[in-house]
Amino acid sequence: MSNTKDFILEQLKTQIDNYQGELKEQTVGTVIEVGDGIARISGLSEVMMSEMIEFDTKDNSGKKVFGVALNLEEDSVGVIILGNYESIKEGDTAIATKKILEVPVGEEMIGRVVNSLGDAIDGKGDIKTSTHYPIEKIAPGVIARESVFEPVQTGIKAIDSMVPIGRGQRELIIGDRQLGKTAIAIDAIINQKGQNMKCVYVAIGQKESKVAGIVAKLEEHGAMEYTTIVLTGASDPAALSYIAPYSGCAIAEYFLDKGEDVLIVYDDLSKHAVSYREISLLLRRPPGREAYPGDVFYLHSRLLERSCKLNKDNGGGSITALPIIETQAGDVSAYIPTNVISITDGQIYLEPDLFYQGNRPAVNAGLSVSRVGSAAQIKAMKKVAGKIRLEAAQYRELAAFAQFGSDLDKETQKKLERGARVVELFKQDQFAPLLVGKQVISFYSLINGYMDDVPVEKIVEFEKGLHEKIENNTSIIKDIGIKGEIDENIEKELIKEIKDYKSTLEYLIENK
Amino acid sequence: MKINSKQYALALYEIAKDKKKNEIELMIKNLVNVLIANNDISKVDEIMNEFDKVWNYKEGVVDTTVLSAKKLDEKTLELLNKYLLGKLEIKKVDIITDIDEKLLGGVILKYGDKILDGSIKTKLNNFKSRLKN
Repeated sequence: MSNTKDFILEQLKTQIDNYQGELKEQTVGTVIEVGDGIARISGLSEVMMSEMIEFDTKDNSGKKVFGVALNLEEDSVGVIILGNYESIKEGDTAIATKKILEVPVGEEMIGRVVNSLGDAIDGKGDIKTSTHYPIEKIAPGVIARESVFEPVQTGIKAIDSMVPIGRGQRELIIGDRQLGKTAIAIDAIINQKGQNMKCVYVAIGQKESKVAGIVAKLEEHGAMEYTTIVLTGASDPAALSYIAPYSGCAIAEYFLDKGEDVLIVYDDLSKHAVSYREISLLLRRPPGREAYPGDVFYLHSRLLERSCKLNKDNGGGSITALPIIETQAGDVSAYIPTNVISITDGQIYLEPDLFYQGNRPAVNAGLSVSRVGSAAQIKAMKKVAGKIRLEAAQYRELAAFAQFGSDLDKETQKKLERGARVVELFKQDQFAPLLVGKQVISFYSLINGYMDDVPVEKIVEFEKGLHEKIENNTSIIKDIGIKGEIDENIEKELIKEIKDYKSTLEYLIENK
Repeated sequence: MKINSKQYALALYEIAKDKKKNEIELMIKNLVNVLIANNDISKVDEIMNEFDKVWNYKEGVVDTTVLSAKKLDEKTLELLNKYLLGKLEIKKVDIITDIDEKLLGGVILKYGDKILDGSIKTKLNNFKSRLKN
């Protein structure tokens, strides 16, 4: 025993003897102006762009306050303050840390709720990681990328069939407030269970109650096992909202570098642009259109460009981004919406009229596009989705036309009947994502006319029953998921099952 | 065009260098007249501040604050002076000494916008955080 004790004491002595406090020259500055989350500092020569600045002040909780240098001017430095700026006084010392702003990343982040600096705010204790990533990073270049080919299954019928999203794609979700933009993103996250995806949900300037609800829902569906939530609340300073999406992206890039697939949701980028506008105006950068600064396009383009599909030589990982934009009264031609539309690889446009008619999710099939297209669909879905998209488009055209007169020929009437069923089939409840196999079965029975004699109001019931029957009796749903296509055997079995099922039903319309 | 205080200070330095005292007196008088004419007399404090910086920069002088726990003797100050002259490659160091007992020992040098912290207090703090990790 005493040997051990001596050893410990000996070690302690030698360690202290060998300890050399290194002498470091530090660059300092003095706060000459502070307010609204912005500080102006004189001194700080040789400071870098977006370098972390440490203030010699402690906030109420006893933590040091940090800032980020954003404006390097002739005789002062403009700094945004991350956190509580009320404790900073004029004349305080600011020290340049010689580090670019970075956040902790790693497996430990999964299942946690963090702020935009990577600190846990879910009350489950500190997050201990050994790796840090800078929040700003140049996006991978052409050589490292490859084209998108694997699907992200959102589990939403209207999206997976008509606007398919691929791994590495950036698909904008756009629409007015309260139309279910977040709901689509959350459903997509819930549906990633068992699909080898990590998810990051970035809430920018959101109501904390809303985010608490989302976390609860995700936990309920077991989705927090692969999800990280980056949260800046509505009461957080604009500086934190401004860096939140970049932090979220840095967390996602850790998994990308490990060759994994990540789905990241930015909810929402309009608020992000607003907080950047606030910061820019306070830093006295010249305002441009709608008072946004000149580089507001670059603000989003550099963020979304970091979403990518890497080729095999670079690990083969991907980051799929679902940015959300909230429009004002359906105005998609405002500044920020047009910017983001032009950056992304397509958009899902949600329409108020559809929403209030009860077609939820209210995806407008005409205005929603995916520039990656069918490259990101499994073969089985490709086969049925093309037809569905056509039926939906024809229905839209005819429905407007059919309002004028009731004397329609048989062909048109048939198309209208079919179209009404397509619209009905696209209706889907929240938090009820559907496996791709089930989606294919629904679409298959519709385009092959097996639903034509099902009354429109019974479609939902019919679909549910059909899925249940097929799931219980056969392995078709799994087979489609694994093989990715409907071969002859599956098709035969499927037709038989559908016919069997229909023979048990009583509500079918008699053939005229 | 508006003339800022830095430009006034630079101009003042340019005309005043290598001049005799009575000449300078006249120049200052003229400068004040110019300031009044330009409605810039309220900037005089700023100009004085800037002039201090300009003068130090052009003449190779650096103001240095030496913080220590106890009063330093002449020999130590001489050593510090030599160290700074060598390090910063300048002509002259203006040393202001100050005493802060909280440092326990060692010195903190402040020159320009740099800090060189060699105090016992900081060393102990660093040591503490290292032991913690």
